[in-house]
Order: sequence, then C-alpha cells, then structure tokens
Amino acid sequence: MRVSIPKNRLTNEHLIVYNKPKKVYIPLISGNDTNITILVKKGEYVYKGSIVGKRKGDFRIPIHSSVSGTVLDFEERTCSNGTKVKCVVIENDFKEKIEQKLTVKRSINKYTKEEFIERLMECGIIGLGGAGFPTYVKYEPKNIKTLIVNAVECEPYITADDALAKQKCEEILEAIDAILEINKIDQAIIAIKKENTELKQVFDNFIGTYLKIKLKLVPNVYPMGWERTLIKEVLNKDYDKYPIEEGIVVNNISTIYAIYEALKYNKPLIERIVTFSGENIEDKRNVLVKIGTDAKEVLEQLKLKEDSIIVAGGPMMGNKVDDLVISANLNCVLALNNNIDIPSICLKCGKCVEVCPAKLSPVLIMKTKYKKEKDIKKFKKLHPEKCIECGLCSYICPANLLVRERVRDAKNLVRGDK
Amino acid sequence: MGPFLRSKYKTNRIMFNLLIALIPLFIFSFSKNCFNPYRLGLISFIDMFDPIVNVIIASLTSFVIEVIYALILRKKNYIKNAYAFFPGLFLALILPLHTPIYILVIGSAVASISKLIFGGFGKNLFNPALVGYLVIMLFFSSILTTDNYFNAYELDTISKATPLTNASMVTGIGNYDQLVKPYGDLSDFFIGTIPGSFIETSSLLCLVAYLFLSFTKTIKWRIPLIYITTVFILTLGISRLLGEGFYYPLFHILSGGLMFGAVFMATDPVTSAVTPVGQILQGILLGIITVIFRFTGVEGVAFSILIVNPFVILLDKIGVQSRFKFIKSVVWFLLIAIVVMVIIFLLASSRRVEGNLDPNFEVISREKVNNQIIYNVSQKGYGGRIKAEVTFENNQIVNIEITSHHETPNRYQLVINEDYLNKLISNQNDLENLDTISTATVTSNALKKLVTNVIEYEKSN
Repeated sequence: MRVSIPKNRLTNEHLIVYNKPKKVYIPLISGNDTNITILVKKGEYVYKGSIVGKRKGDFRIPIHSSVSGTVLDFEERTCSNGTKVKCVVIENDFKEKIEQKLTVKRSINKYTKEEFIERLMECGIIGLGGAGFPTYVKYEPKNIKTLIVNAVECEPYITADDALAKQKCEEILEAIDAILEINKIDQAIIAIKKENTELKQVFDNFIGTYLKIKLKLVPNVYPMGWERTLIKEVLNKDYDKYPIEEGIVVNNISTIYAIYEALKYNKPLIERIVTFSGENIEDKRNVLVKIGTDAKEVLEQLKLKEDSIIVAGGPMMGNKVDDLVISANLNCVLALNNNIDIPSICLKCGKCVEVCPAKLSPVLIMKTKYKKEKDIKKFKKLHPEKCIECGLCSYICPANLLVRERVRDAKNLVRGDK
Repeated sequence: MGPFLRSKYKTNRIMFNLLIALIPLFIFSFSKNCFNPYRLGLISFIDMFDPIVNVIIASLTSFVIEVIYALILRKKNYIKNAYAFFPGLFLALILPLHTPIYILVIGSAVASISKLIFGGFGKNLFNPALVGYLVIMLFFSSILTTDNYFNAYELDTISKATPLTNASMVTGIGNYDQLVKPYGDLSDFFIGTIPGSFIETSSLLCLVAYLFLSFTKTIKWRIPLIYITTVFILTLGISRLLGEGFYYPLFHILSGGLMFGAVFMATDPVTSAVTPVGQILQGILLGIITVIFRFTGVEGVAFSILIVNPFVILLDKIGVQSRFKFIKSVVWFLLIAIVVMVIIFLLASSRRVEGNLDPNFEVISREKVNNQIIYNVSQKGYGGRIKAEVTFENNQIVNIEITSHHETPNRYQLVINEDYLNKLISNQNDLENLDTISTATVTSNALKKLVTNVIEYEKSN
C-alpha cells in the first residue's frame, strides 16, 4: 500500500538569508559519527572555511568553520539526530575572512577524476538529504553507469531542496554535466515528484542542451526519496546493500549544488538552506543559514509562538529537541503545537505491515518482548535492522502507537548484538 | 516522540465503518424475517422487534461484562478503547432468530469473557463472538432445534431446512433439483431469500459490504477474497469430478454463513493475520477446512475460523519470512495445501453415485408370498433410517407401510396428512414428476427415493 501525505508547502516561497549569527556552534559530527579529531584550540583565530576538525577512521572528512573569528570554547549542543554533540563555539567577527584560495579551474568539467574526488573530500561535501554520507566515497568506484539526482524531497513541509533547485537550476545542470564527464557516467536522471510541476517547468527551460540528463517524474508517495524506493521506481532495479552494485550513484540535488560550489569556488560546506515551518511559526520560510547557527535565533526572527515543540528535521523522521544547532544534514526545523495523540490499544489491523517500505512487520516487532538473552533470536527473525525510521508505521497507526520507536529499539538491540 | 504527523484514520473509524457496513444487511434481514411476516399476519407487532431486542440485550451484556472487568482490575481507561459491545452484537446477528434470551445472554457473556481471559481488547486469540456461538452450539443445540432457525414467513412459503442441512441429507453430493430447486433458483441464494440465521442469507449485501470495507481500508481484504475463492475452486473441482454443473460451486459459496463469516468474522483484525502473505494463507486454510466441514454435514464457517485463529501466529511467521525469501517460506505451506486438496478431491470422487446404487438405501429382506413380493427396506431420512414394507404385485407396488422412523413428528404428520404414501403408489411409474412436500422436503424426498430405489431393485431382479 502506497501512502501519499499532503505536502503542506510554504505560502511565502521567498528565500531569506540569516548570515549574521554572533556565535556559531560548529558540531563535531559527520553523518552520525562523533569520532572527530579537534584541530583548533581555545582562543585561536579561525578563518571562514578553516578546518576545525577531521573525522577519524576511513572517511577523513574535514569540518569547516562557517565564520571568521575566535574560538571561545567547546560546548555540548543538540544536533539534528536529537543527541548532544560537542561543538566548537566561534565568536563571529563579521569579517568573513578567507584563509587562502586554492586554484580553481576555469571550467568545472576540466577536473580529473582524482582531482574531483580530492576536492569533494577537502570541501567536506556530505549528503545533504539526511544521512550525511561522505559524497566523495560514492564516486570512487570506476563503473558508475547512472547518476540519479534526488529532487524528490518526499517528506511533508520540507522545501529546502526545492527552493535551491529553482534558484540554481542552471548551475545544478552544469554540475551534473561536469560530474558525468569527469566520472565517465552514461546518464543522469533527475527525479522530481509528479505534483511538483513548478520545478519540472524550471528544469524544462534549461535541460534541452544537456543530452545525457533526463527528468523523471515519480509518484507523490512517501518515502519516494528513499534511495531504495527511488531506484526501484526510476530504474526498476533492486540491490543488496549499496546502489553501486548496480552501477548507480544517488545524490541529493542540494549535494549537487554543493559539489558545484566546491568545484567552481573551492567553497567548503559551510551553509545550507533550511525550511522553517510548522503552525507555531508566524513567518514560515526557507532560510539560508550558516552551519553552526543556533536555530533559536532564526526561530525568534521568524516570530516563534510560545509553548511550541521544536522538531529537528521533517514531521516524519525528525526528532523533538530542546535546543538545536544547524548541521549540514539538517533540512528542516518545525515548531508545532504541543498536542500529542493519546495512544490506545493495538488491534492488529496490519496497516503498518502494509505501508512499511523496508518490508518489515512492525506490529510483530512491537509484540515481541525482550526478557532474556535468548529473545534476541526472535527479533533477528523480524529483521528490525532494515528499518529506515521513515515513521510511516507510526503515521498510519490508527491507535496512535509509537510503532517506529519500538522498531528502532529492536533495531538498536539487534545491532548491538552483532 | 515522532512522527509529528499522523493519519486521521483512527480505530474509531474502523469500528464505525463496520457498523455502517452492517446496516444494509440488517435492514434486509429485518424486512425478510420480521416485517414481511408481520405484514402477512404471521407474527404479532411485538414479535417483529425480536432481533432488535436481541441485538440490544446481547450488546449490553457484553458491555456490562467488560465494565465489571475494568472495575475489578481498576483499569480506568480500558472501556474507552475496548469496543466492548461488539462480541454480543455479532453473536446476536449470527444466532437463529428465535434464540431464547437467556441463551443469548449466556452466549454474549461467554464471548466477552473469552476476550478478557487473554487480557481484553487486542489480545484475544479467538474471535469472541464465535466462541460464544460455539458454546451455545455445544450446550444448547438441543434447545435450538432447527425449528428455531426459521421464521413464520419462511415456514409458510418454502422448505424449513437450510440449504446446507438439506445438502447433508442427499445422496452423493446431490443434484440441482435436490440442492437448489427447493429454494427457487440461484438468484434467490444471491439475493438472500433462502432460510438461514438472521443476518447471513444475503450474499449480495455481503458483497456490497465487502467492497465498502475494502475500499475504505477497514478490513483485511485479502482474507475474504482468498477464502471464498478457495471454497469455489474446491467445490468446482468436486463438481467437475462428479459431473455436476457450474451451479454446484455457486451453491456452496452462496449458502450458509460463508459470505458473512468471510467478510465480517474471518477479518476480525485482532484474530487474523497481519502480514499480506499470512492473510492469503489464512484464506486458503479457511477455505479447505470449510469444505471439509461441509462434506461431513456440518456448516463449518464459524468453526473453521475458530480452528484457524490460533494458527494465525504461525501463518504470520511465514508471512514475515516471505517478505525477504518468498519461495522458500511459502513452499511448504503450499505443498501441504495442495496435498490436502488432492485428498479432498479423492474423497469427493468416492461419493460418486454409481448407476442406480444409492448408498442410503438398503434392502433388508425380500420375500415371495403367493403372487406378491414383499420387501423390507430402509432409506436414510432426516432423523435416521426410515424402515418400510413395500409390497409388489404384478411388478406394481400395491402397498407401502412405514414400520419405523425417526423423523420430526410434526413433519412426518404433514406427510401423512398429504396422503403422500398413496400419491407415491399412484405415481409410481412417473415418480420424477411427483413434487415433494415443500414443508417437509427431507422426509418426503427420502420416501420418494425409497420407492424409486425399491422399484429399480425389483426391476434388476
């Protein structure tokens, strides 16, 4: 059963810029990995674009400062995944000083594959759609056949990608073309939701000159933007673990623009567009913000009503937070009424099973009890580790149960056992 | 925690849709079983409201039981989300029309208690209304004789036996004249003017309810579809094997409580499978068991559903696996199902009536006295074997005497009153065109067959 959820778009689509935070809190997190080497000290002066930390382990992704100024301190702040993360607190001197400028090529398709990958890594480009996976890793294989540009943005409320794509359509197409040429990829397919006719029109105006880039309209269902669902819909292909098995790379459309800026201006990932919406914000807007900005400052400027709950992320996958700093993979901040539906009793209607895009049986996971070590086997048979936490099971539940939370618990239990 | 957006489709709506779907069925059944008999002067004005009273009393009983439960265990919010009146409501609808009130109350109480034993709404293993039904059938079936099934309207017009009771009496698997004709034709089965318990007879309206409930995503639509399809395919196979017409599978899916049970009882969310494949397997299993029940002479929809209820957990295990490894998970179930179906076909083909041999007919003795031949024979009737002495003279029957029988007394009396034995004698060369007595179909039919069989026997000697 496919579920279509009303989008709830912004009424005022005019993008605003919030680029004057007094302090920024650069979260030392990459994806969900907080294992970061800190490269600055208290009192040190940093430029805009200076590296403040670097991820340990296989993916040596750097983290950049989004302002120029002095490192004040290190503080714990809540990040998009709802947990407290160590942040570098930098006092903005509003000078926007840039340390040094690496050479950039006149034409962005003149990079070699090695230069391209190095540039993405140096600029700290990660997936901006949510998971925050390092982008350069996706381009390392040589046998890429298809690039799917994900402009689906299937979660309600969020229009950050949409706003960016409409504004930077030409740049995005230029970047896709360069990516195809550099990586010798056969074709690119931009996936857009059927209902988003405006965005389709914008692309239709420019796409004619790019023969290898096609548009593909996908159904208005949630979670269409999930990699697996999207690939199945666009190319009718399944894969085991990673899309590259089938020669496919999926990039979010905002990530493509970040790649453009990295190639064109050598600009690291230091700002992004975030949708600020929800019934408790008076002036709902898409806002271009610096990474590390305290979300409260922006919310106050947009006239936040009292007694709101703040959600980091969209209404389906987001987490309730008390405070929040903007990180690279955060695409939405919601301020909602504090009314939570009261859970009743599960009547085993099976709707959560019908809707689960990962083919799980949430109701059965929920009914399985963990009492002793052995019970973990029961959980494993239900494969909770495949959960993508899209939240559809809870959304559809007629008894208002916290289905997703129970599945997530089981997922953590099973993962912890490995 | 999240998600912070929820679908507006709540449990209340599911329950509300179920009630909505029952309304057309209730109106039809009320007009068939109550209003029409009243209009024809067969029952009094007060009696007309029997089913409404039954429904109210049964629902209230269930509700009260659960309130007491909630009070004893001090579960303050339990009642709000328990939909406590449903077991009694459904029980009242599937019971015979003139069930005594005290039986109804006991049944509803048992139904609700069977739900509470498992911990209340959402936790019960068995369909509560059907548990109530089962208990009533086990302990009170002597009180609920077939007479109570029916109403004055039906009494006046057509056979008193339900099509399935009738079907269990026939030789072999029966034929169109025996199964369908006493009730009109198949369109009467479809519309629902045939005898049966209060709400179950109208297949048409059950179908309407099915479509409504499926499109509003209220029920698990796969279960009724697969259930009825399985019954259809099995009975179709049987009819092919035994050379019966296409009417035969239709007769089976349109009679008894199959349609109503499949749509409203087998899909009870709490006691049915949650995985899509689990639901399909549940449908297949229900179909197989129901057909087996029908061939042992019991209307088995209610019992099939109860039997399958505890296996739902197992079916869901297959259902979970099938989402990752489809073929590997379902292959065993399907193999077993196919084997069982083949066995059913084999057993069914053993019911073939070879030539004129009727397994329900038996010659006890044949004596020659002067120029007369006196037969002592027996034939299976409604309540057991009817024994008779048949006298032939010059290859013609001159006398029939019933020596013993176990038929329902008033039914037997009707046969006597109609002088049916003499009619049989006078029509002995043209028995095929002799009508049976509509109000005593089974008994008169048995007698007719007895005579037919004894004539055949005499000819072959």
